[in-house]
Order: sequence, then C-alpha cells, then structure tokens
Amino acid sequence: MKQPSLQRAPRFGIPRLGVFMALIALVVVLAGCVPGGAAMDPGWTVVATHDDTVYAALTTGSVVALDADIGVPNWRYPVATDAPRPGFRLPFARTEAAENTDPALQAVYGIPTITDDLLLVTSRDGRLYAFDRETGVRVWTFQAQDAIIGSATVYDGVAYFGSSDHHVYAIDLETQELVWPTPFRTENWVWGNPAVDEDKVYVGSMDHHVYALDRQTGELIWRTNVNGSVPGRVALNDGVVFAGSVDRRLYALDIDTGDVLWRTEQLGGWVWGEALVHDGYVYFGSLNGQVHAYSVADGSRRWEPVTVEGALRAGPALFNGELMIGTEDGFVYAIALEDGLVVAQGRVNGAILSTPAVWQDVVYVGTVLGEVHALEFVRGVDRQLWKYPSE
Amino acid sequence: MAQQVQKPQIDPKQLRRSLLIWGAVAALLIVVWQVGWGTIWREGLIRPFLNAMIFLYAYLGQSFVLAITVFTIVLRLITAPLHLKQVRASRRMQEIQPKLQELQKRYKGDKERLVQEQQKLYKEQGVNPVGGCLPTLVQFPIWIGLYQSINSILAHTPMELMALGKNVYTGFAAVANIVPLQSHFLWLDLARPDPTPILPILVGGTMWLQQKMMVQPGGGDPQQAGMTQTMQIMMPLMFGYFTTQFSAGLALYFVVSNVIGIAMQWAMERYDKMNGEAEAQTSATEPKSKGKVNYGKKQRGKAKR
Repeated sequence: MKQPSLQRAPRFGIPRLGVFMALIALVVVLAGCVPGGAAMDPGWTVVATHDDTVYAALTTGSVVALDADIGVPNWRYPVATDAPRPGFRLPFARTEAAENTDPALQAVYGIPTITDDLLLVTSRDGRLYAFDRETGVRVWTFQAQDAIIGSATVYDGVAYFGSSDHHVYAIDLETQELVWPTPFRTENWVWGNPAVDEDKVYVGSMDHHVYALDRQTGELIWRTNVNGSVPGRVALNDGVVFAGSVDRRLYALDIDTGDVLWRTEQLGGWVWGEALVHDGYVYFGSLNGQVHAYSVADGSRRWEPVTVEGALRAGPALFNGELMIGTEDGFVYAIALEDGLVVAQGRVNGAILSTPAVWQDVVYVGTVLGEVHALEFVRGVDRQLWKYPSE
Repeated sequence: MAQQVQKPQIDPKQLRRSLLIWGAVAALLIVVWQVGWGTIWREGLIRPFLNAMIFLYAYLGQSFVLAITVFTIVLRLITAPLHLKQVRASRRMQEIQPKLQELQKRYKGDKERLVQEQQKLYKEQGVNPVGGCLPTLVQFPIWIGLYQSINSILAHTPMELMALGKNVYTGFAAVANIVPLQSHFLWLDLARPDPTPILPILVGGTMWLQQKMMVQPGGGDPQQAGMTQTMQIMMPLMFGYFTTQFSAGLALYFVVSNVIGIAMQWAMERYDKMNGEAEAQTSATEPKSKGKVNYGKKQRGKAKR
C-alpha cells in the first residue's frame, strides 16, 4: 500500500508564522481602539431642559431638540438619523449622511447653554456653536485655538468659556466679537465652565488655580492655588466660590479675596463634577462613587458619604427636593437632602457622565451610547417614559 | 511485539506535569470567572503599570521620557528571562535544522517514524518547537496594558483623564501635583502621534535591527529563510506605519524597548562567544578519547543524568 505523502515536519517557521499573525492581530486591535490618539473619544451625551423641550448633544455628533413629553425631535442638527450602534463607535459612525449640508460636531462634554433665542454648544473641535433654539439652524460659530470642553456661561449677553488652548474667552453674542482686549491666559487647560456674577468671572484651570477676573476687562483680580487641577465647573453661592480639585477636596473660597474659607478632608476620589448649593449646604460627588454633603457656613459634614455604584464624574441636580445623580455604571439615584438616604434608584444602558436635567416630574439623562432617557420615579422605582433614539 | 509497540506508554512524570498544568489552567479559569476578567486586567496590569509610571514621572524630574525609559528598562529586566529563552530557543531550532532535514530525507515514506524521531531529537537537544513564540505571546498582554496605561497617563480628553482618575491609587498623593502630565518633549506631543516621520522610522529601524540580530539565517531551508526575511521587513514596516497612528508616548516605548533589546542581544552574543571560546579551550585540553558532544549547559546536565 502506498504510504501517504511526506508530512512536513514541525519547523521553526510555523510557530513564527503564528507569532507574526498574532502581532498583526495585536496592532490591528490597538489601531482599532484609538487611531489618531484621542480621535476616537466620542464624548458623552449632554442634556438641558427648557419649558417643554429637552436639548441634547449626542455622541453621534448631533444636536437635537426633543419634545419633553414624547421624545420626538422638533429639530435635529445635522439632518440625519441617530440610530445608536451597539458597542464601540468608529469615526464613520458619526452622522455625516450625504444629505447633510453641515458637518456633525466633534465630541461634546459640556451641557448646552440656553439663552432667549440661542442654544450654545461647545465641542472638542474648538468651536462654540450657536443654534437657533426654534429651528436648529446653525447661526454662527466661534473658533478657539484648541478644544472647548466645558459649557459656556452666559451673562448679560456675553458668553464666557474656557478652552484647552489655556484661555478664557468672553464673546458678545450679538456680534461674536471678543469683549476683552485679549482672552485671559492661564498656565494650562481650562475645562470647567466659568461662574459669573455682576463683577467677576470665576474659573478653574488645570494649572491648579481658581481665577477671579474682572468681568468687563478680563483682568486678573485674584487667583488661589487649590493644590491640584480643577477639571470641572466652579459653583457660586452667597459670597462663596466652590471648586473641586484632583487633590480630592472641595474648596470654599471667599468671593472677594480668594482666601480659602474651608476645605474638605481628602476624599476617596477626585472631585470633578460641579457642586450643587442649596439651602445652606453644598452637595457633590467624587470619582470613587460617593456623594457628599457639607455645610456652606463652616465646612462641616451634613451626613456621611453615600456610596453608589459607579464613578461620579458629574454633579447632582435638584429634583423635587432630592438630589438626582447619574453614575458611570448607568445608575440614577435620588438621594434625600436631609439625611442622605437613597429614596429611589434606576438604571439605564450606558454610562452617565453628565448632570441629569429635570423638567416637572421627569428626569432626563444622557449616556455615552448616545441616548437620552426620560425617567419617572414612582415609589422609588424608575419607569422609562421614552428613549431617544427610540431604536 | 506488535502489541508492545502500539500500547501507549504513560510516563508518570509527564502525567504529573500535565495534571499540574491543567489544574493551573482550571484554577485560573475559576479565578477569572469569579473575579471577572475586567477586574483582573485592571488590578493586575493597568493600575500597577499606570501607577509605576506616574511614580517614576513624579520622582524623575517630571519627565515622561525619562519615566518611560526607566520603566521600560525595569520591564525588560523583568521579562529578560523570557527574552533570553526565546532567543536561545530560536537559536537551537536553527542549529538542529540540518538534522531535521536529514531526518525528513531518511524517513521520507514513514510519517509516524519521522514524527517519533523528530520528537526524540527535540528531547535530546532540549528544544521546544513552540518555545520561541510562547515568550512573545506572554508579552502581548504587557504591550496592550502598557498601551492603555500610556493613553490614560497622557490624558488629553476628559474620558482619558477620567480613566486616569479611577486608576490612580488613593494613597498616591503626589498625583495631584502632576496632573495633567507634561506631554511635550522636543517637537512631540506625547499624547498624539508624531507629525513627522522621525519616530516611525526610529521604531521601524530599531525593530529591524533587533530582529536582524536575533534571527539567524535560516538553516539552509529556502522556504524558512524566505519567511524570516519577509518577517524582518514586514514587522518593522507595520510597526512603523502604526506609529503614525499611536500616541508618540507609546512609540517612544517601542524605541526604548528595541534599543534595550539590541543591547541585551549584543551582550548575550558576547557572553555566548566568550563562553564558547572557553569551552573550546577546555575541550582541547581534555583527552579526545571521551568523544564528548559539545552540548550547552542544559544538555550537559541531561547527558550526565
């Protein structure tokens, strides 16, 4: 009987080929993860409400105005579908259909700012976009030299915002011209939105300082070192500026001098999300998944930290006398102001990294999957009223 | 007689070893199932890497380039045994190629016998045919973990900064002083790809040189030689291309790692050469009648046994 043909002996080349193929797979995987460095970061969905409309900037690069009751879009920019795609998104997942005359936005992180007739949205492409609130038409844009991460704060017809180009800008909404002779320069990125009062603009920078600038001229009035970067928004209330720092503390600064009135002990995680000040107390979350409450007057704890499931990037919203906060694990918690007890809890699909918006008895949250969820809480249990996109 | 040949003989030693390996694999699977792959990956690789690099950055003049260089050296030292094993395995395979070819010729018509003889040869020479690729496979998770760690450390977007914030050890107070990390070095923004072709060329060039030093010309087999040559060109080209897509920080890691690899390779060759000369001198002074084969250390031990 004829012997089978000679079988090739296991040779050095075979395992080598395996390694080669595995290396190809590795580089493809790595390249697939983040081509072009940060180009793949789609941002997170941010929501704001006004009257019966929910405005949202989605991770698909679209901006929508939704009917708060039924979640149907009144307008959408740019004109295209926003069907979510499960899993990781690739750049071509962005809505840039042929019928669009306008390009989609790059990643958005700041909550849209609502004025009488405009919707202001900031983007990592370095632009401040102004949309007509009624029609969604892009009215104008302002280009900074680098990404704009935080929201714009509008006061007396002027939009104040910071940029990764280290500057703080003041733009006249009518003329889109710089109000200050030159934008104010800090030593690092400005990611948080400024707080503004009649005289001053308060803003935190990643250069570890909180700044107070003259609102009219943009000149420095004071600056205070808070021992760590300030990635989030500063809050303003009753003569006190509150700033969270990556040194895991919340700082309370005197509005006139910048002196540290008090600061918290070091917490379990970075304080990034904006603080909510209400009725003599300040409430905020930390990145290690804890909600904190302190007295504005003396910095004493109101209640022990409440631990939730998932990191807290964003700050809480006030909802029917309770704190409403979303977590990275997709949980939404309602926490009693008085004692810190969790009175209601819900969950959506996808991380919630922005502050929830509320309108009447409904909470609206945006997720990193590019969805907006409308939730109602009945006896401590959440009920989803609608989701956008619906499929 | 025929029955004796066909009856499979179980080596108790091998059985024990197999049971041990499968037991370890089963234990690992149970741990992964219980703890979760994500947690193991994060706690076992990402966080230690990330915090070690931040630590080095904080205490080495806040220079990311210096930090990644020292980190790479440490990592290469830790994985040096694997690297050496890989190089030696690859050399041994090269050395026995002529013998393998001879066996192929001799047992051309007897497949079963060929395999038996090959296994015997591998055993005699202390060679594992897949020994050369396993160390590389083991290093894959390290590369991927390093890639993710570098992206978080050189955080340029809120998502990346958040990943950094979650992965930094709570007791690591110095982090507050250094975040965000200084990512500019010469013309480079280490968080972004190099806009010039310099780093891609450096990555490709050093990788080519390292491979050239590591892989010897392939033992007379033209097919294998072709494969080796293709790999020597394709791999550096591929990594060079992907450097244009990765952050410059990671590319820097590849350059430093390759340079250290080249230095190690050179040192090893020197050592082997000196060792070989010493052994040659020793065998020249010993009586020739013993007819000893010039094995490596491992083989000598086995021969004695």
